[in-house]
Amino acid sequence: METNLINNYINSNKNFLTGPNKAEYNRAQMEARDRENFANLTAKNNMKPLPGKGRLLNSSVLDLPVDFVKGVSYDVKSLKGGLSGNSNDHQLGELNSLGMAAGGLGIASYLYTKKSIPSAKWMEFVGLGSFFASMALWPKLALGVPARIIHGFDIRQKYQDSMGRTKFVYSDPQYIPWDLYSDKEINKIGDRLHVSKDIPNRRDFIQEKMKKIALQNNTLWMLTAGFATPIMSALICNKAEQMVRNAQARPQNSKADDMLKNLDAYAQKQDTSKYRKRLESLLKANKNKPFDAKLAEKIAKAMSFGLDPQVAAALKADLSTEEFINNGVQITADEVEFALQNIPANASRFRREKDAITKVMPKPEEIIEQLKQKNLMGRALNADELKSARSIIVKSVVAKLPTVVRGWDEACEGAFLEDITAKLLKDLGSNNACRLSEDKINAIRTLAGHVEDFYKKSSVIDAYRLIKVADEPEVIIANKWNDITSSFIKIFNITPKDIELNRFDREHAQQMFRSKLEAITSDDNKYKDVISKLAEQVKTLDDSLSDSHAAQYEKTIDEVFNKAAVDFSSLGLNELSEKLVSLQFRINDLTLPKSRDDYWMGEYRNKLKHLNITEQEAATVVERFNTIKAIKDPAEKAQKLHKLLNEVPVFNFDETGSLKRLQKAAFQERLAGVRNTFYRMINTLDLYRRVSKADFAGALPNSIPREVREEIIELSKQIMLQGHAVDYSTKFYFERNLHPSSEGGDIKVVKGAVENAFYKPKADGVQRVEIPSDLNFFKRVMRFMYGNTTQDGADYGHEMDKATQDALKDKGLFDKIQNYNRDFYFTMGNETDVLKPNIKVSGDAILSSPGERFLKVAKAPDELVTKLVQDSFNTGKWKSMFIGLGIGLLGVTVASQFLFGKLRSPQNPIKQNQQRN
Amino acid sequence: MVSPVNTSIMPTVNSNQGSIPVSSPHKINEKYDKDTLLKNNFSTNFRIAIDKLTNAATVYPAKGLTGNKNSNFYEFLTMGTVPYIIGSLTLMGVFNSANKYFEPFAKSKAAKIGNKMALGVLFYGLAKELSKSLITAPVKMATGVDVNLPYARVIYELPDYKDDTDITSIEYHKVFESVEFPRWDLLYGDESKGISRNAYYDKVAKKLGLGKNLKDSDQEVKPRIKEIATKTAAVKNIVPYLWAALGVGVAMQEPWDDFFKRFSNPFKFYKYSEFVEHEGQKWNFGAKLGATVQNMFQETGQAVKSFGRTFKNSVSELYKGSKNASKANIMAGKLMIFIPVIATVLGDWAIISGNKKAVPKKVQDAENTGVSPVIQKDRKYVVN
Repeated sequence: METNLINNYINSNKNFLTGPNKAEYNRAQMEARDRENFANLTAKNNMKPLPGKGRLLNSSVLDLPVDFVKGVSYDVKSLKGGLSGNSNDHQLGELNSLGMAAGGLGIASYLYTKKSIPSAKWMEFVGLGSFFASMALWPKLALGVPARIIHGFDIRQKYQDSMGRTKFVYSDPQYIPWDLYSDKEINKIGDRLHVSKDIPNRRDFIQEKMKKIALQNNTLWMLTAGFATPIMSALICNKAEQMVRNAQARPQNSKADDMLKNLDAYAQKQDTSKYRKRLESLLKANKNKPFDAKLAEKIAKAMSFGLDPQVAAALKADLSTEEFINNGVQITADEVEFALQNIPANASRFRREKDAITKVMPKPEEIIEQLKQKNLMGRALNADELKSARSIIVKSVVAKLPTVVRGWDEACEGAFLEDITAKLLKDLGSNNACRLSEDKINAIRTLAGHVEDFYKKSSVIDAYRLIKVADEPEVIIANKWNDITSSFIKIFNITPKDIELNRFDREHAQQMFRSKLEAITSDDNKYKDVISKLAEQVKTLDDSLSDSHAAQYEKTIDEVFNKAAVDFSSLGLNELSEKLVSLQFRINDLTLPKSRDDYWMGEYRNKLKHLNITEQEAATVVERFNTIKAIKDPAEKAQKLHKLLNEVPVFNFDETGSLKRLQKAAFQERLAGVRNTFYRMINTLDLYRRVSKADFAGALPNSIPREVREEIIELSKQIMLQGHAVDYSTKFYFERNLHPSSEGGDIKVVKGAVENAFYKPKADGVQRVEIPSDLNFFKRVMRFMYGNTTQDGADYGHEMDKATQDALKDKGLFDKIQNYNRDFYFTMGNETDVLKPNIKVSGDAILSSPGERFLKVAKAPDELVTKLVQDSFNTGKWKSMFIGLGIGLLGVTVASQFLFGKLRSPQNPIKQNQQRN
Repeated sequence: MVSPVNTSIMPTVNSNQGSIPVSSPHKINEKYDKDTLLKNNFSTNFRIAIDKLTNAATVYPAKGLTGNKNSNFYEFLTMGTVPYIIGSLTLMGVFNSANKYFEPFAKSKAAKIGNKMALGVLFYGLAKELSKSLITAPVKMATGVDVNLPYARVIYELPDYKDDTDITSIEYHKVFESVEFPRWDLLYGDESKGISRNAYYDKVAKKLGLGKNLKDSDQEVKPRIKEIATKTAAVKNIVPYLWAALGVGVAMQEPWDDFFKRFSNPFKFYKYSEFVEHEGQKWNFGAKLGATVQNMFQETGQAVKSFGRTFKNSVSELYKGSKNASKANIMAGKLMIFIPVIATVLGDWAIISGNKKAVPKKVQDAENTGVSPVIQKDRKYVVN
C-alpha cells in the first residue's frame, strides 16, 4: 500500500505540536524533521507539486486581435463543454457574457429590421456596441488609468493561472496570487506608494496597501458603473450618429450618380421574375378561355410589373380595343354559313323584308371561294384582315338588296350595315374570337416584354429620385438641409441662452433673429464673415444636387419615357403611350379647333403662344403626326414617331399631367423648396445689410416722403424675415398713415435698426389703415426687396450690397441668386389679386400656380430659425445634462483615488528604540 | 488516522471545519452556527434576495470603500446587482429625464420613445430572471436535481478591532453554484434525526432511473448530478438573454403608445382626487377620501387590465408585424419569439435526456456483467 504522505506529515506534526515531550525538541530537531518530511515528499517518492505556470499578463493594444480570437475560441470551447457537462466554473462564467452578447445582437437585429431610416438601423448596432464598450471602458479609463498614474500599479492587472485561464489578480481580496509579482516589482510599486524603505516586512505592507487600493477601486467600480455605462453609451451614440449618417450617405450619393450614368446596367439588375411568373401563370391558367373585360384587367395588372395603377388602367384599355381582341381570328366555312344564315334576322330594321332578303342571300360556297382567293381563310387574321373579310360578305349581300327592298338608298344601306356588323363580326370569329388564344398569348408576351423594359429603367430612375430627394428623413436633400441649417447656429452666433429663451415661440425667435441680423449687418467685418460662411454652406448643396444633376435626371427621363411611349404607340398601346408622355394631348393643342369662331381661335392662339410655336409649324407637326399614325409597319412607325418627338421641342414642353411630367416635377419641386429657402436667407441678409448701410439709392430715392420710406423699409424687413406666399398674393396688407407727412430727409439708421422719425405705430396715436389705392407702394417694396439693376440692363430696383456681391461671386452663386430674384420679382409681383387687381410690378400678368409661388417664397427665415432653436435646444439640453453628469461622475471617481490606500505604516522597531532613547 | 476531511493542512483561522456539517433545512431567520441547507421556496428566496440587496447597497460598499480586510469575492459579486439596478434606472433616465424641458410636440414624441425604452429595460430584466425557472423547473421535475438549492454559509471574520466579538457573517450561496466543488456534504442526511445518510442521493438515483436501494447511491449519482449542474449552468447563462431580447421586442411594439397615452404617469394621484373642489360639491372629508380611494382602485384596475391587453396585442404584433412592417421585420419578429422557446426546450431536453439515456444502459451493463462502471470494488480509490 502506498504511503499517504500528506497524512503522515500531518500526523507527525500533530504529535510534534501536542506531544508530551514538547520541551525536548529544539529548533534543530524541528528543522531536521521538516527536512526529512520534505525529502519524503519530493525526492524519495518523486512526488512534488508541479512548478506553477501562472504569469502576469501585460497585454497591449496590439494584442487585442489575438486576445479577441482567443476569447472567442475559449467561449466556443466553454459552450461545447457546458452542453456536454464538462466545463469548469470559469468557463461557465464566460458563457454569461456570450449569452449577453447573443441577446444584445438579437435585439439589435430585430430593431434593425423594424426601423426604416437607414442610419437609425445601423445605430441599433452602434448602440449595442457602445454599451458593451462602455461597460469595458469605464473601469479602465475612470478607475484603472488614474489608479495607475496615482498609485503606480494596475488595479485591473490580469494573470493567467496554471490552467491557462485568464483572471483578474485583484478580484478576490482573500485570494491574490502575490507570488506572481517579484520582490523587485513589489518594491518598485512600494516606492511609488511612498512606503518607507526601512519598515519590517516591507513587502507584506506594500501588498496590504495594494490590496486595499484594489478593493476600494473594485467597490467604486460597482457603485459607479450603473450610472456610467448608460450615460457613456448614450454620449458615444450621440456622437456616432452623424458619422453613421455620413458613412452611409456618401456611398448612397455616388451610387445614385452612377445609376443615371449606367442606366442600362442598373436596369438589367432589376428583378422582375416575380411579375413574369405571375403573368405566365395567369396566361397558362386562362388559355383558350373567354378574353373578357375581367381577364383583360387581370392581365393588364400583371403586365404592369408593379408600375403605377394608372399604367394598369391604360393597359386594360389597350387590351380591350377591337384591334387587339379580334387579332388572330380564323374564319371557317361553317362560320361563313352560320353568319350568312343570321344576317336576315340580325337586320332588325328590315324585319318586314326578311323573307325577301333570305331569298337573295349569296351562297356560302361563293363567299368561301372569294375569301380563299383573297387568302383570308385557314389562317390567323389580324383586325384589318378580318374587316376586309367582313366587307367581302357585306358587299355580296348588299349587292342584291336593291332588287328586293323597296326604296333602297344610301340611308337604307347605312341602317342595314349598322344592324348586322357587330353580330357578323362575332359570328365570323366565333370559334376562337374573344378567347385567349395562343396567338394572343404570344402578343401579350411581346407587349409585356416592352413594359418590362420600361419598368426596369423607370425603376432605376425612381431609385435615383428616392435617394436624392424623397420626402423622407436621411435622403441626400434632407441630410443637406440638416447640415446647412444646423450650421446657422454658429454662423449667426445664436447662443445657448438665445436658444433657451426663444425656444417656445416664433414671435420671440423672430425678434431674436432680427436683432442678430441687425447687429451682424451693421458691422463690416462680421458681415463679410457671415455672408461668406453662409454662401459657402449654401454652395455645398451643389455637391450632390446641382443644376447639372437636375438636367441629367430630366434628360434621362425624356429619353426613357419618349422611347417607351413611341414603342407602345407603334405596338398599339396608345392609351399607355398617352399616359406616359401625353402625345395626343399635345397634338390636340396644336390642331386647329373644329369651331373657328373667335373664342376657340383665341384659345388656340394663346396655347400656341404659350408653347412658343407658330400656326404654320403647328400645322406641319399635326400633319406629320397623322401621316405617321397611318403607317402600318410598327418598326417604321416607331422610328418616325421617335424622330418627331425628338425633333419638335414642343413635345418636351411637358406641362401636361403625364407620368413623365410627374417624375420631373417630383424632383424639381423638392429641390426648389430647399434651394429657394437658402436663397431667400441670403437675400434677407442682403436687405438688412443695405438698410444697415443706409444704402437706399435706386429703389428708395429721397423724392419719396420720409414717412413712406420708413414704412417701406419696415415692411420689407418684415416680409423678408417672415412673409409667406399669401402676403404677396394680397399685395402686402400693411397698416399705414393715410396722410403721411410730406417731409423728406435721410433715413437714420443706428446699429442696423432704423430710427423712425414718423412711423411709430405704437407711440404716435395715428390711426393706420391698409391703403389699397396706392399703386406704387407694393411696387416700391418689391423693388427694394427683389429688384436689381445688375442684370439685363433692367432699370428697376436696386443693386445688391457690395460685400454680398463679392461673397456670392466668390462662391459662384451670384448669377443663380440674381436669376432667382428676377424670376421672383416678376412671378410674385405680377399676380392678380381680388382686392388690388391692378397692383403689379409690370404690365403683364404672369400665370403661376399656388404651388409654384409657395416654392418660390419657400420657408421664412424666422420659421427656420424657430425650428432650429427648438431642435438644438432639445439636443443641447439632453447633452448638457448627461455630459454634466458624466463629467461629475468621472471627477468624483478620479478624485476618490486620492483617498484610497491609506494605511498606517508599521513602526520600525529600530527607529522606535532610537526615538525612545 | 484522522480523516483528511476533518483536519486542514492549511492554517485556517476560525475555520468551521471541526465537524462535517450534516444539516437539515433550516429556517432562514435562525442564527446559524454552521453551514446550513435552506429550503428552496418563495419566502426563503425572497428573504435571501432582500438580505443580499440590502447588504449590496449598504454594508458591502461601506466595507469595500474603507478597504476592510474581511471584504471578499462574495461581497464583490453580490454588489454586482447594484450597477444592474442603477444602470436600468439610468438607462430609463437617459431617454426620459430631459423630455420635460422640451416644447410640447417634441416632448410627446420623445416621451413615446422614452416610455418604450423604459419598458424595454423593465421587460429585459423581468424576462431574464423569470425565464431561468423555465430551465431549472423542468430539470428539477425530471431529475430531482434542484440547482437552485440555497444554503447559508457561516463566515468567521478577522476581528475588526481588539475586542470585536461579532466575528461571523452569513453568506447565501447555492449548493451547486460551483460545478467543480458542489457542497455534497450538505446533502447528506442527519442519521441522528432519523434521516438516512444517502436520502437525498437515493431520491435522485431513483428519479434518474438508476434504481432503488443502491448501496452507494451518493457515489453513483454524484457524477450525474455534476453533469446536470454543469449543463444547466451553461444553458442558464445563455437562454435567459434570449428571453430578455424577446422582452425588449415586445416592449417596442406600437400598442404601448396608446397604453402610455392613457396611463402615462401612475403617480399622478391628483388626477383622480375628489379633494379638488368641484362646483356645488358639498362632501365631507370622509366622502372625499372614500371617493378618491375608489377612483384610485378603479384607475389601477383599469391600468392592470389595459396592461394585460396591451401586452397580448404587442406579442401578437411582434409575431405578425405592424401595419407597414417589412418582410424582414415580420420574419425577425417571429424569430424573436421562436428562438427563445426552441432554445429553452432544446436546452431542457439536452440536460434531461442526455442523462437518462446514458444511465440505465450502464446500470444494465453492470447487472449483466456484475461489474459496476461507477464503483469497481476490486480497485483502490484515493478519496479526495
